[in-house]
Amino acid sequence: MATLATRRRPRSRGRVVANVVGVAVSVVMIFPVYWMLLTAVKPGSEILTYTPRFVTWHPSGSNFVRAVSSPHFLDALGNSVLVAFGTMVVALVLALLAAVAIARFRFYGRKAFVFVILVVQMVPLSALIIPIYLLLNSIDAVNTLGGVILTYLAFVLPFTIWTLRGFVAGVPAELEEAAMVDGCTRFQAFRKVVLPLVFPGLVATSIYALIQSWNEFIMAYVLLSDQDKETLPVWLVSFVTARGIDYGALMAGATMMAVPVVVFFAIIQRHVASGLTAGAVKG
Amino acid sequence: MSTQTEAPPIDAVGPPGTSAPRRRRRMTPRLVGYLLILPTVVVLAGVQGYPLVKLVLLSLQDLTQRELFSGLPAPYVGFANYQKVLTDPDFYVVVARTVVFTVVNVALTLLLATGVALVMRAASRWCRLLLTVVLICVWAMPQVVSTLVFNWLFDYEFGVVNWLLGRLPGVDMDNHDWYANAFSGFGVITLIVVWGAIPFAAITLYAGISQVPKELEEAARVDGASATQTFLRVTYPILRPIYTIVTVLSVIWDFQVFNQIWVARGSKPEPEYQTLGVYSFMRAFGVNEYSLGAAVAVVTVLLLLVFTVFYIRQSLRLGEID
Amino acid sequence: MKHRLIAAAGLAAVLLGAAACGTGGGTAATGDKLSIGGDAKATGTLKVWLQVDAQTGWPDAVKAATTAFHQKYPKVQVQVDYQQWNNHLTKLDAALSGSKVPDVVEMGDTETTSYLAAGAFLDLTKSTALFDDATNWNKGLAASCTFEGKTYCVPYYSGSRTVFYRKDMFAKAGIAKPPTTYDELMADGAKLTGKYGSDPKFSAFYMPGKFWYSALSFVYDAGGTIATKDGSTWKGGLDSPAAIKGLTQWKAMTDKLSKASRTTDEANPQQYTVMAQGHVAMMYGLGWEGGSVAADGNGGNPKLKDQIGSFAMPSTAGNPAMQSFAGGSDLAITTKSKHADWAAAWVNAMTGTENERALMKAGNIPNTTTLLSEAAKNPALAPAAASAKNSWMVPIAEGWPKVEKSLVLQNGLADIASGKKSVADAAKQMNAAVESTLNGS
Repeated sequence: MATLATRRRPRSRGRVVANVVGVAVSVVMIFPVYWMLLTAVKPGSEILTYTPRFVTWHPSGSNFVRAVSSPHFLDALGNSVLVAFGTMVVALVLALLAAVAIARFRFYGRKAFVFVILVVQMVPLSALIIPIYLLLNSIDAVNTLGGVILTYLAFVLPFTIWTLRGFVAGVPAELEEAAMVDGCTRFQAFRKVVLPLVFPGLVATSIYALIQSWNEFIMAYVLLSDQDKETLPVWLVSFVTARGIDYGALMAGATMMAVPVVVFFAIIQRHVASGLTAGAVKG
Repeated sequence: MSTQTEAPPIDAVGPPGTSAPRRRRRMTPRLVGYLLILPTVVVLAGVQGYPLVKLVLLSLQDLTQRELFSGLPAPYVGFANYQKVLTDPDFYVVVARTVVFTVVNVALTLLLATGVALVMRAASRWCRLLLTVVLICVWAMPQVVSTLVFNWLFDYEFGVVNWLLGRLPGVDMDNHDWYANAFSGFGVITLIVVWGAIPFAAITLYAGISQVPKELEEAARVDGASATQTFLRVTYPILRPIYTIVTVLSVIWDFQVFNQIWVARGSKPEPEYQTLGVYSFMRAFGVNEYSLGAAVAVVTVLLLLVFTVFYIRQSLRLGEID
Repeated sequence: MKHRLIAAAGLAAVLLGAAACGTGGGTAATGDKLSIGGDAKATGTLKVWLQVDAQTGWPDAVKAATTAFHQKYPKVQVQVDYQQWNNHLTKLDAALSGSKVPDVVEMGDTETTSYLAAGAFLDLTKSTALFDDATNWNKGLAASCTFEGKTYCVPYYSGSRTVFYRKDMFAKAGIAKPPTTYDELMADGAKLTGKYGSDPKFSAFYMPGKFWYSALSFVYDAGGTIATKDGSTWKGGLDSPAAIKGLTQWKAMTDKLSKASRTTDEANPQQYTVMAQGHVAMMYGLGWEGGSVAADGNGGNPKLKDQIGSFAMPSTAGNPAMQSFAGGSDLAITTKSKHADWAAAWVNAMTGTENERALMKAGNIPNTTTLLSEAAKNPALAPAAASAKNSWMVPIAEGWPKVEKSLVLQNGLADIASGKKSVADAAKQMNAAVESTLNGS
């Protein structure tokens, strides 16, 4: 009911101001991305110039062709999809379980667990490269995508657990209890009450997990020695050589790398909306 | 089914404490808790446990390339590496610089991200969509590339920013070097870092804000609270766990920032651009001083713990409330 | 909490044990002679790590090397993976600590020493005769493969710097022929500045502040050195009167002729991209950089085709030319490689006389003096070949890579160029840092 009223309400001044600010912020924030796209479609002679060119009248796909036809593009794409989505799915499942555990259950060692999860994230990555390599070497997982997924899981899990814990904790326990009073089991109560409310959190963390593992460079570079096993970020830097940077192909490659992430978000965006409506908006 | 997903608004639930009768339950909550965290514990103990133990051991050894390549045991040297780090006068300057950098960057990130999240909440649907797409595009841009683009924008020769500012009347930006003094140089680096950090923070905060029932805020408004008061009294308390996470993580990330500075300075950072991440690379990892690097890493963790102890306590306390 | 810690410690102990078993594989390093005669029946995979330059610059030479290798070992697969200069040592360190190692690795010639000292590479002292024309290896490169009298790698290619200049600008400024003495160079620079100086971006000679290969060429030209070995300790030379004279001349030249940033180096942005914009009359660069100025793509400017010439950098001390830094790459065989024979055969194919000729075509300086004389007859390569014969090399000390990565030289030079410090102060500071690092503290 309330929403009907909200929708009909004439545009308030606040909304107009918000829209103006929103557009201004968007323009500023997007500029580097625009520069990437622009460079990707510019012909070579327009890319590096003292007088910058903010538009191009001669867009061409040659940079994309060069990027796609560079060695191992398809291998890298496949590997990245496997690694990033693999990491994301496993991380979300494990993290949701753990988040519910620490937000809803009391058990001995819970505080220690939360503490460890936090501290683990504080260790500088550069210090862990060699120890992780040695570990994976000893279980014969160096130069395998599985080893990379395992490594990414370890880096992504603490964050996902922490964030989801916040979202789970944000759902009042009373809601669940009410559902259980109505005859739901704990699991049903979780699935039907908590999960929809936690959905925005799941979306946010899934994007995080996806982007982290999609864009990670140094561990992938060190762990994967065969070029047909390399992931997209490793493939991408092959356009940066001691003999100069092929900005056109680099930006075209980066654009192609960004597309799947944006598409993924566009797809789950709808679910975000429906997840959100579970709260209050829908009448 | 669908009727059941219609969760009642929070304020419709009876006061806490009027707990429901004990429901049928086969496992104790404690056991369920353990089972739920088991997979995570296995992964973390496996992949992080060994490297962490190894790291601490390493910081007490003197491992050189010789031992690393041959697999021979490295000699234990006690706290010599720590002594070396802690007696280096540069180290304290670097830590102080890192702390200032972190505080400025985290504050800016949180402030701007909160602003963006609130604008998203208040704006029309199309504008919200626009902002979301922009944030995702920014976030999705590979970091290798975004730092290169920023480098380009502020370049001495090809800089787009210099060119744009040079169009302003009376401004001569020919041959202006942003990195010639560390103050303006760090300004640019802050821009790069905050720009890159806003999407994550804003999207997470927005997800949190959208969990806050609009009715609560509207009720506060009706009661005569200003927008700021509503945010501080109603919205913020509900979002506190999320703010805690975003703050702590931002602190952790900004404290260790490396890539942005490294690339911005053309992989040759001057001493005045050394923060802890750069310092540890240049003094340790970059020159194969693994043990020294391990000691710096351990010290970094301890410093971060000091830095975040307030939040950890708060978080653990919050964790107990429910 | 306590129980957890004990459990974690136990797990760690198990894992540590496993790791100890995991390492230590591979054939032991021997100084014995390798045999590369070939084996038609041998099967397996030879893993080669080359730098990315080969992938983009001379892929045909790599293919040709593998084809030649296959004539000896037809059933052995060759897998070449290309590495980034920025991170390749991190990856190499990790790989060498484990059991899955590459068999052949490319190393920059200033990166080798600490690896030679650590025993990462196979001792080839008794096998050098297997490699084409090894007695005539380019001295600077060969030195980077030698540690305590033993040879651990094979010279691959090098580069040396000459001056690239705009023929059209020289003509318009009334300069008939390129300078051959330092005084002429400075006079020509003044003429060019007179002609084009109203352009705020114009540099008669582009010279960024952290271009240490260039600044140190002035030092060596004036008779200075970075450091020399005195018995068992290294003695720094950067605060010697000769070195200070060289640095002072470099600073004077930079101040008079260059508008380049004082806080950047020759690669950020690539100086050829700056020259391609048309506001630079001269730059000091490698052979490929001269070619890239007018290339189509990667920031080159095809309109400058036929306008780029080169001459040897004149000496400030009256020598025939200024000494150039002998930058280059070597190929090494890892100690842990299980296929050292195959590796040696492939390295020989890659660095053999025929293949080096292909590398020359890509703008590189070949690995032997024999081929260098050949290059001297090629007009495009002649100035670079001449300057390669007269080159300086960083100290062959275990600690050198640390000096380079600690950036003391680059940052000290930037301080000189920007005027933050006097030449004498900066030289003293650089010298102290170099000396203490080389002497292992």
